[in-house]
Amino acid sequence: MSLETLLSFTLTLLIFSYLLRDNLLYRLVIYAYIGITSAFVVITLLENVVATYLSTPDGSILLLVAFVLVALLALRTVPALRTIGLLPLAFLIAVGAAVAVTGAVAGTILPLVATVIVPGADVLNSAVLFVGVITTLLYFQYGARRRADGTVHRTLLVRGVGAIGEAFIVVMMGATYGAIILSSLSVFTGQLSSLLGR
Amino acid sequence: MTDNLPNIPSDDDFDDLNDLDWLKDAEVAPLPDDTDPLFDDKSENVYRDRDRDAGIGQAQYGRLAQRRIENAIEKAEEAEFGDPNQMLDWMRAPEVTDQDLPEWLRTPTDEPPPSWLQGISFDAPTASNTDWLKNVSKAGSDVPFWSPPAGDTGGLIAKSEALQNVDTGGLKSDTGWLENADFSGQRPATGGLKPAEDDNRYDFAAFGLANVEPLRTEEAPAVSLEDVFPQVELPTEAETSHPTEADADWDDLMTLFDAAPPPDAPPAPALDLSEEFFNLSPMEPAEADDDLDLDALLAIDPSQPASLGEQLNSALDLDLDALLNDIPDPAAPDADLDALLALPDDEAATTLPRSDFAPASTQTDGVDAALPEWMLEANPFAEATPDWLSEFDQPAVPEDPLANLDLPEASSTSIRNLSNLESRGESPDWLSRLDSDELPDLPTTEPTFGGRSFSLSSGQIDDMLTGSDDDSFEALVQSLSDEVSDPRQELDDLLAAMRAEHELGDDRITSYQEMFDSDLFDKRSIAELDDDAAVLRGTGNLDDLFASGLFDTSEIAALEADLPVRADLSEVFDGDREDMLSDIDLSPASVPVSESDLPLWFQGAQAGMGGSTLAAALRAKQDRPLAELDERLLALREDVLNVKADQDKAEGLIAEILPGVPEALTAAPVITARPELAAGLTVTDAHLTQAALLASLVSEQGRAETARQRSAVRVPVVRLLVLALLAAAIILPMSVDVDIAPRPLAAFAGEREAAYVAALNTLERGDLVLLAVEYDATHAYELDALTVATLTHLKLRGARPVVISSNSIGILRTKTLLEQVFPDGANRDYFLTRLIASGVVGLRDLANNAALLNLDASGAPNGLSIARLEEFAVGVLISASVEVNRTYAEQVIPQIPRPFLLASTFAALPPSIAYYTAGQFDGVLAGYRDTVVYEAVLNAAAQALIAPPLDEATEEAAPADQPTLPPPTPTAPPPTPTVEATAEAPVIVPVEATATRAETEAAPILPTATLLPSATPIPPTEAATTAPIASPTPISPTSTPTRPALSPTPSEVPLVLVGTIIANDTINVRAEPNTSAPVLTTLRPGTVIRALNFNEDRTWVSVVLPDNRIGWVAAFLIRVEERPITDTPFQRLPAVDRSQQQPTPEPLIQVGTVVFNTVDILDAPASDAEVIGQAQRGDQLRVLLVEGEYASVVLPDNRIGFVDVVALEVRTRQAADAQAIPAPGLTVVPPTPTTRPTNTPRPTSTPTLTPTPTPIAPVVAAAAPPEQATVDGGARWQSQFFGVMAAIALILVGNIYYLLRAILNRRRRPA
Repeated sequence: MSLETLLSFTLTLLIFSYLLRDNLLYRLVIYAYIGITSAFVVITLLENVVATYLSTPDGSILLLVAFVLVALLALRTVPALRTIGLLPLAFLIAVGAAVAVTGAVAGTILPLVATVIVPGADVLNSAVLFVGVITTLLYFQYGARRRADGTVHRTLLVRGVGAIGEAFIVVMMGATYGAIILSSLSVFTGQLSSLLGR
Repeated sequence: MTDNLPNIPSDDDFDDLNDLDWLKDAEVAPLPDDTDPLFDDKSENVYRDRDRDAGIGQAQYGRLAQRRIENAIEKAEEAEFGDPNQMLDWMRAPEVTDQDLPEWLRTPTDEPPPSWLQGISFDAPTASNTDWLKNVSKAGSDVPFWSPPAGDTGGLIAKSEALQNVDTGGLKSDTGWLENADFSGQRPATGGLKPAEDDNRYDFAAFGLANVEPLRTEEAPAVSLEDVFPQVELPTEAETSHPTEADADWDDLMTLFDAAPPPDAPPAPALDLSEEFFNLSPMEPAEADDDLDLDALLAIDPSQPASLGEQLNSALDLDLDALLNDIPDPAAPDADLDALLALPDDEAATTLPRSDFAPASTQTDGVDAALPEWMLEANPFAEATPDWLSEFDQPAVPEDPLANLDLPEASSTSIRNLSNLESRGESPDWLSRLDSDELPDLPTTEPTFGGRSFSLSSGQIDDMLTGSDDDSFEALVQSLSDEVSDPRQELDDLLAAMRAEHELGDDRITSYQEMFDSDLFDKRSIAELDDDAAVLRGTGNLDDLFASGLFDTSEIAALEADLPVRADLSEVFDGDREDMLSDIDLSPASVPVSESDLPLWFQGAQAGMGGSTLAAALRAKQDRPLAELDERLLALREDVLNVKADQDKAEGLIAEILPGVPEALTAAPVITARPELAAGLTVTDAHLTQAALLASLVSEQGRAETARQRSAVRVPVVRLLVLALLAAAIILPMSVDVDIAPRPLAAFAGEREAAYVAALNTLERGDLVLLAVEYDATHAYELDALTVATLTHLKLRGARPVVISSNSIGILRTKTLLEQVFPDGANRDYFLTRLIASGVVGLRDLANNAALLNLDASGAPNGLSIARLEEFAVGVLISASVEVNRTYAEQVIPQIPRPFLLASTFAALPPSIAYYTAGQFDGVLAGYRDTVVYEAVLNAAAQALIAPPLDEATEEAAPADQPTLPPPTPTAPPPTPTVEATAEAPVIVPVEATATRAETEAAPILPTATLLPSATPIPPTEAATTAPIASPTPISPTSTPTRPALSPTPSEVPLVLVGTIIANDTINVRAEPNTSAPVLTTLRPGTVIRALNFNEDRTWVSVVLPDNRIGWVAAFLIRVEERPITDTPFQRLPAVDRSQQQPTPEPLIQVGTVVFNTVDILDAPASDAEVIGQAQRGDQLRVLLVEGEYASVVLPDNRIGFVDVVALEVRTRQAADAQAIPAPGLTVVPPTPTTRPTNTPRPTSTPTLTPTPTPIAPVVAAAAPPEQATVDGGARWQSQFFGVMAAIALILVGNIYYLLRAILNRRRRPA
């Protein structure tokens, strides 16, 4: 057994010790993993981003702007200047939100809607999609009235439609959960296969 | 006469009458030595006579007199004020005897004293002023004009004693006077001025000059103004008129200043001396006249007709809000204080309207009945109280209790006096009545009542601050302030007395204007006083006054520090408000205030108030009738009662529901904002159940159980058991060869998977593929194999991946995999770009700026010149996250009008499949199962290359026992790279690939492909020495694709896999890919041998032995590479010393016998495949593999053909028998090279590319396995299957267990 295999085996055992309870050995491995990963990310960023920007004049200017924003962000540690630190945050959040929303419309909402309404599409699939979307929306729309005693009551129609939507959600969540188990097993078997040389 | 006396002081410049400086500089006429300046009312005449007789001019005489006066004043200043022996004769006060008393005082009589005298006490300043009340009962002649102090002091107080008793602000510090204080507002009329009498004498002792001369007797004429100012002509009776005792028609002070009231003016109001003059504590002795403080006069605006007190009050404008706003009591907000203490100026100005000064005679009726009881008891002459005195107790008391709250003004005045006097070493007279011991011990930050700590609640403070006029804090403040507010009235009374004196006949001075116009005063000093007065008049409030520069601010600050009221407020509310609030005890236990809790000065106050003490007032507040409450307070009361009821109800409910919980857990304070909500709460069964659980937890037993459970180390037996079972299920197939799991199909059955492969099959050589690798080490064991398979497919197609990633770990792993698949192919066979930072924003930027891909990880140009993402032929995303899939679908895919594929983990598949449905992804592979199938598809194609070249096979078809094989003899010339650029990339066609999406259907799937690509799977974790993929053979782009032929031509040089033994020692070649299989032979290090294939998990390599047997070598002992068949220096097997070998069973091979008359040998396992040969009945073919409906067989020219399995009878034979396989009827058709006519480079390809890696030269056909064919997933596949089964079983068992337990518990539960 090579050193890599032995080390991998040991670390795997330490990870699995979490099944007993949260313990120091488990945390040791987790922290080591996080630390190593973080260090690698930093190195990668320096090599792949900072260094590459420094290699070109335009990149240097952009990098200077980035450092100014970083410096402003660091001002959040000073209570009196916390407001200034909001500037780069606002910039990042605003740009990120704008990009995300735009992309969501063009890449998710419209294509998914088009899947249902495109002529010639599978009628059954379209119907299922439509029903799933509507009932799920109604399930999350708690159109209910509060009685005097504080209890909340929904009408029979809303409850019935909501139950269908809930069923869709259950199926989706179950599928996701099962898929996660299968993925975990795949990783586990891959790890064991590597350890055992199979 | 007035014209002859310039530089007189103004009317309001009487400030420093107590200050002897003005006398020092005054121009006064000398007094004759034999003239008593106080008693000789003829002094002026004497002076004039002497002056005239001696011939001395008035000016010279004046200088002499002034010098003498200055000398006298110096002596007076140096003398101890309290020592009469050191005083000037004229200043020395003789012992007062009855003879000194006037007749009306000296002789007791049954007749009541004059009405104006009743109730007046003439206590002189003594050290025990608190005893003055004892003398109140004395009336008339029984009352001494003053009470001599203890000791032979001549009725005077020593300076030291006076200074010792000095307290700041003119307030007394002795609590004694408050012990008997009456806060009822009906103050006894004590002390004061003796009104004018017939003898036209006035008692100057009441104005600080008492020590100069006692009140004269009948024989000893009283001191007159003429005595003091012999040169001044007092106004004659004809010039002015004065009120008499009978009518008491006194004008106010303005009358003295030549402001005669109009003839039709209403009668002057009765002057409430108790309020205006003796505005001290009601128990204050009658020495208030000592505090003649004319400072207040300086602030008077002569243009205002109001009284002096009003003007002073308005001029100084005490800002009580600012003073009391420091009170940090949240229960007494500023608004309340403002409402309580703040008075509009107009109200303050009308506190004592002139109309209130009604003649005494008009207000005498029924006065006695209005007198307080204590006053009637204390004064035996109460029944005969003079009219003017009875007014003291009349409602003439200002309605506004704060009208007389002149504390700061008085303080400033006192401070100024003190400052001036102390600078000369003197003590002002008014200080004599100041005794720090007499001041009350006002509560400090934490007062102690009755020996125990007492904290005022916010409500109590509020009550104190909002008390009515007759009690509590306000009365206290007013009483304190009244003590120092009287100088104004003193001046009024002084001037009034002067006027009264003038009324008695002296007509030489008509007004004070004339008096001050005389030469008696120093004009310069008067001018300075004028300046000071002007400054003072310009001051708006106390702060401005102090800032005027007239005072020594240092002393003011020092005195302010000792100011009782302010010190009290500052000390009580000093410091941080939060700390102070935290010190306030709001508990109900601190609210009740008993009499014993009160300080002595409060306890005594109760006796004087007839029960109206502070405590009584507080109690009265609690029992305040509801009718007295306004609507808002009533509403508030109702709310409070409702809240309390709800709280009581809730507390009871909590105690009932959670027995023991309130005791064990400290309940958070509950503020019920809306009681109706609390009332609407209902307790359900679930609540009760949870409450019972909580109660059990917090109970003693429950807590003990919890502690025991915490202390005990519990072994999770169930958890360990589950883990053990799952681990056993997974590990078992890896330890023991089992083959239970259903094998995966050798082809993709689903549309999305087939579309993935089909889309990649559309690639042509040189195409660029955007490959995004977005997973880290966590998912490496699931996605690494999929990544390698995809890279292999791309390599087989001759495409060049451009790898991007926003995951730094993903970049690292991808780099490793790329180096495995494309050895030394960086920036040529593949392009690894730099990390994409900023997540979604970075991806969006990449989508809009594809030029970023023209740089490698180090920022250097990588040879690409991509301008748009459209230049990519296909995009592939290998991801482990749903979010990443969505991000690419939203940000990148819309920018690439090309097929985009997704290879994902199985966990991310369900949410991501919607994007495939929506057309964002054109093909999807997910999970380990798809990986296995994908590898199987690739392997199926690769197996077509396992057959060695015919000549090589022939050459190596030597007997196995041949010890040494001859060196290989090249039978073909070296390849000549003259072929044209028509080489085709291998196309791997899954079964369903041609029946999928429109995009993939457009891809040319060559039906004429016949040969399998050499797509050798790559072990992901093995050492690089295994070199799984053949190294790229640099073939010119113009090379013509060739097909292997039986007789290779120089232009048709096939490639074969060659293995080189890299071990350091001799290795074993086993019959099967496991260490337990028998050893066929051994190979020495460096041996080059024909390689065929890897096993499923890529740990073994099959090799072709010289005796045509197939054996297996451990993959890490052999390096496999692809070479032209003409460049395969196969070494013959080294001599095998069989004697050293253990006898091993002969290896077996499969031989198929044709059972049909004629059977076609196809070049692919498909019915429409090209026929490459035919076999007759009885012919025997070596069978390599039976997969589905077809069996692959080895043709004589070492090509692989496919025969329908139904036409063969497959049997196993010894390998040695393989040499004698009869196949007489076998005919083969030489293969004809075919070219792909549609091999047109994509216009989007970068023209500046470096020479593209050449794919495997022979264009081979897709070797689609039969639809029903399966592949061996190997041990990992078995483990995966067992793991899934174990997980399902455990979940089912667990759920069944918990279900049964719940059922059993329900049955056991009592109804």
